Order: sequence, then structure tokens, then C-alpha cells
Amino acid sequence: MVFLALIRARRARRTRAKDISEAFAILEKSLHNAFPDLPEGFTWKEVVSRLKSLGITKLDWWEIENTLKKYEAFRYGGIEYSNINVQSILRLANSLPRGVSFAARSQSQSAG
Amino acid sequence: MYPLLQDLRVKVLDEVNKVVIGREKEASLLLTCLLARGHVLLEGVPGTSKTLLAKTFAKCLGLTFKRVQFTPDMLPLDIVGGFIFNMKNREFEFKQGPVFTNLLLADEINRAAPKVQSALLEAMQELQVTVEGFTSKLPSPFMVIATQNPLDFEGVYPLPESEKDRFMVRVIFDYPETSIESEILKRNLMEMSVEEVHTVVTSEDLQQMFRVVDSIRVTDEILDYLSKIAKETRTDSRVNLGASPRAMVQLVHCARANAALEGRNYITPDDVKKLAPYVLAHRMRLDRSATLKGLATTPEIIVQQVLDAVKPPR
Repeated sequence: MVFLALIRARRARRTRAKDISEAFAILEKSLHNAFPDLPEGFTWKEVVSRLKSLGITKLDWWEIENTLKKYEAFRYGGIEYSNINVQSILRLANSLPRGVSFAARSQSQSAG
Repeated sequence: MYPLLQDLRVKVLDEVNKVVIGREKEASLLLTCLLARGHVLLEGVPGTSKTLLAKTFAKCLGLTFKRVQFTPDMLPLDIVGGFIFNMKNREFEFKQGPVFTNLLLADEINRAAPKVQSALLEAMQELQVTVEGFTSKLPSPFMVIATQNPLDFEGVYPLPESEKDRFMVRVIFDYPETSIESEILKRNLMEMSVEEVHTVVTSEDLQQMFRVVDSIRVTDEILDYLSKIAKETRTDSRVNLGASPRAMVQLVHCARANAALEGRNYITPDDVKKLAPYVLAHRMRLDRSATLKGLATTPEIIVQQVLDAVKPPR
């Protein structure tokens, strides 16, 4: 466990992104590796909601959701924020679980 | 204005909840549709509070309201109005039909013959009525809330495709859950009437809200995303008739209204994904041969699969 944590910490330190768009691109790549069943039509909000339900406690979900809100405002609303926390997205990219199905919950959500 | 719009949703849901229980999602869709200047088709078995919801909704928004019960012997003139000879001045005068209102409840629309259903086409699309060359504008806002029974019921006519395409969204009314049904029974032991509902918005504010919705930003990437969704519904082998260009235009307007109600001045792909099943499913016609081949499916499932397959801008 300690060994795994060390590897993850090193990986997190090495991952760099020059801006928020690159951070989300890194997250997308990590998501495809972690969830082979990830549908092509996913949105960031769906991803965050699904990952939150997995109970990864060490992440600051408020910060992640806040960053996502600012990213969407920039991406679709043309609003630029100076204080976007790129690190919260990179930390999320480095904390993705393995061997979990992505679709299991999203299908039940759409049915409901 | 955005906080005002968010506030409006809360107030409308509170007022509706005084009379109609457990229909928050449906009431929210009605409000979205009104702000997007669209019309709504409510589908469900009798007794699931479709009519009551429409009446309550009109009351809390302070809209003029008229109800028409559609029957098989109805004529188009019964809806749009017509020329009547005035004996005093010996001239024909146009007498407005019930369509001249802010909110028209077309109750059990599929009980009338197709020609009567079609009488609403011009009103719904062009917000005007033409009778014998005489054109008259409808009041603003104008919204049709039509209710219809499922097609396997006795004495119902299917809506023509062109008519279905005019409805921005279709909302299916299922039976309420057990806990909600108990609450409905409990509430009905007391006198509950639409009179209890208060108007929560002025007509000036409502007009301003329409302008806010019109100003919501839509990026080119979102428009491309919508075009891809439309193409996917049209090329699916299980579908005979996919989403029309009008459907996609209405989806954009609906997504704009949803964004405004959530306090944003821009659309995200989530707005599109949230509303697409309501906007697209009722317009799609499945290929019967696909059903015969054992590909048992519904338009709702196909829309969901299309949304899962088409990559949104990220």
C-alpha cells in the first residue's frame, strides 16, 4: 500500500499541465485507460458525478467541482478566470480507480 | 436577471406543489419550455394530474388560460374561431376562438380528427391564425399544452408527424410512486384548489426573461455537436424518421432556457443531453422491419444510445 502510494505521489508530482485545457486533456486520457467501457459521449459533469460516487475520500470534491464550473464557463461562456486550480484536476487524473465499470451507474441513472 | 430566473423556478415549483404533488420534474420542464417559447405534449393515462398541472402552471405565471376538450365531432372553427354574420351592421365579423390566449390547454388532443389537430399548426408555429385570408396575431407568450392518452386507448387518433414535430417536448406521466400516491390521497381529504396558487411573476418580468434566454451564448462547437446528434438519429438503421432540423432548433432553445434557469449565460453539453430525450424521442418513427427482426427498442432508448455514442465538445 505504501509502495503504491509512493508511486502515485511520484506520478502526481511529475504530471504537469500548462493550462486548464491541458489538465482536462490529461484527465480524459487517464479516464480512457481506467474505464475501457467509458462511453464516447461522456461529459465532465457525468464523470465527476460517477467518480464521486466511488467514494475516493482523499480528493477535495468541492474544489474539483468548482474548477469544473470555471472551466465550463471559460470553455462555453468565454469567461476567463485567473485562479483556476489545475492541480485539482491532475490529482483526480492520478487517483482514478482500476477495474471499476463506468457504465454500471450511468445506465441505472438514465433509466431512473 | 439570472438569479431572478433561478428564483422563478423555485417559486413556480413551490406554488405547483401546493396543488400537484410529485410532479416537480414535469413542472420544471413546462417552465423550461415556456421560456424557450415552445409547446408541450403531456402523455399518460387519465387521472395522473396532467390537466391539473397545466391549470396550476398557468395560474402561478399569471397567464391567461383557456381549456378546450377535444372530441371526435369537433371542427377547426371551434379552436381558431371564424367569421360570424352580424345582423346589426350586416357584416361578417371575426370571432376569436379559444386559441387567443397565453396558455391553451388542448385536453385529450388525440380524441379529435386529424384535420382539427392540424388547425393548431399555424398557431403553434407562426403564432398567428388565418381564416379565409384574414390573419390575426396571437397574444405573447403563446403556449399550447396538449394532453393525450396512450394510443392503445379506445377512440384516439394518432397525431400526424407534422403536428408532433411542433411540440417542443413530450413529457410522459407515469403513475406516482406509492409514497407520493399516499400523499395525494391525504391531501385530497382536504379541499385543495387552484385558487390557493399565487402568481409569482409579472408579465413585464416574464418578457424580460424571454430576452435573457435569447441572449444565452451557444458556441459553434455545441452547434456541431447538435448536428452530429441529428445525423446519428437519421442514419440509425432502426429509425425510419429521425430528428428534423426543427427538432434541433427547438433543442437549442430548450437548452438555452435550461441554462438560464440554472443561472448560466452559456449552454454546456449537459444541457443538451438532459433535454434531448424529451425533445427528440416523440418525433422519431421506428422502422417496423427492425422490430420484426427482433430489435425490440424504443425511441427513448435510441436517443440515449445516440447521446452515449456522439462525442460532445470537452
